[in-house]
Amino acid sequence: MTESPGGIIKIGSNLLVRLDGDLDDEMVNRLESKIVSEVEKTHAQGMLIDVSGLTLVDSFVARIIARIVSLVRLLGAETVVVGIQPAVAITLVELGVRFHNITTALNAEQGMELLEGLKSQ
Amino acid sequence: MENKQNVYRGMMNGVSDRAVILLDRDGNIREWSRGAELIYGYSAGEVLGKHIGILHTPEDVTEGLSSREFASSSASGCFEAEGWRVTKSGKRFWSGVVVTPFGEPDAFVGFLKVGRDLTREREREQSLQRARDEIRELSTPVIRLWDNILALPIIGTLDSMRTLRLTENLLEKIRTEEAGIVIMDISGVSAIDTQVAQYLLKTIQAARLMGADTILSGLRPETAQSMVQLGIELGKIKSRSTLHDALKLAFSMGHADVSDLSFSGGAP
Repeated sequence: MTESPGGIIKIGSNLLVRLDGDLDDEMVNRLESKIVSEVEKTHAQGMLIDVSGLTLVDSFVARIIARIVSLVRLLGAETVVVGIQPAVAITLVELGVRFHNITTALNAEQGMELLEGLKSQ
Repeated sequence: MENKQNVYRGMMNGVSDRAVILLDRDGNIREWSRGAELIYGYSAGEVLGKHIGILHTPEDVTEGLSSREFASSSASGCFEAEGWRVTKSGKRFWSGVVVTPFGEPDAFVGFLKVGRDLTREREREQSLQRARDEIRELSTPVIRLWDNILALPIIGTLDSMRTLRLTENLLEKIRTEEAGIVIMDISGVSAIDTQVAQYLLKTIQAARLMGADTILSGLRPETAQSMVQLGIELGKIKSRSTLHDALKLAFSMGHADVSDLSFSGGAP
């Protein structure tokens, strides 16, 4: 397990990205470039996006998550979003945010299992 | 004048289910009606001239309830409240009181106080509230069927408040039980219109975001028919007519270890 700057951790052939705190445009841009370079460098085939640190989610954050997922997909890796909290799930549904084609799992462990399944497909 | 006095007496004593009490500006009892006697147990002779505080609980006396009542009554022309009162025998009862200042503005005389025994109403209201809470508790049960399979039987009508509570309960349970599959049994739902379908879809979507898939079960043929007629689409959501079939499907979805079934038999 090697830790990369910006909360990106490599586990086997997968990357784990944690989103937490207040996200702003500048941070998102930096995070996206980091993800791109990490995927390139490590040849990761899968990525877990852990959002359990986010307690408040609005449509801005929802868009960012969707954007990162499509970015990673374009780079040829599967993604699973894990750790959506109950209150966040309700907010997302109430906001009408539809995570089209985004795979979700309860926690990193289940997400990892799901990721292995997706990769073998 | 004689006549007016009689009307007044009649009013004071004709109402036996209300305590009608006249107070002077200092809160001393000046008139004591028949109803007051029945409710409080004191005869007029025992209380005339005494301060109204003898009917209050010691706590209320310490807190200066009567001055508060008089102040708000004088300020707004009428004061209404509910609270504990004490009878002659020391028994407490729940009373609803209305305090009105009377006399001309320039010749203020005192206060008219009308009280009622609301103990029974209060008890009824409380037991009703308890029953409501119990029903609310019962109305959103989430049952763990297997390692990571939850069942959510829905009975009765769904409104937005109930759906929200139900969703919150379900999501919390998904997290604590690490459930991957939810079987939502709707055989107890009599009718599904566009609104109710919307509620169910929201719950299913929220569960999906938490990583749990939902299988609908118990959809009655006539309900299915009316849903189709209403144009309600359930998208990719799986549906089975019975709980049995839904559970079978849940096992086959690979989230559960079915081999446990053969030898453990009971709950894991």
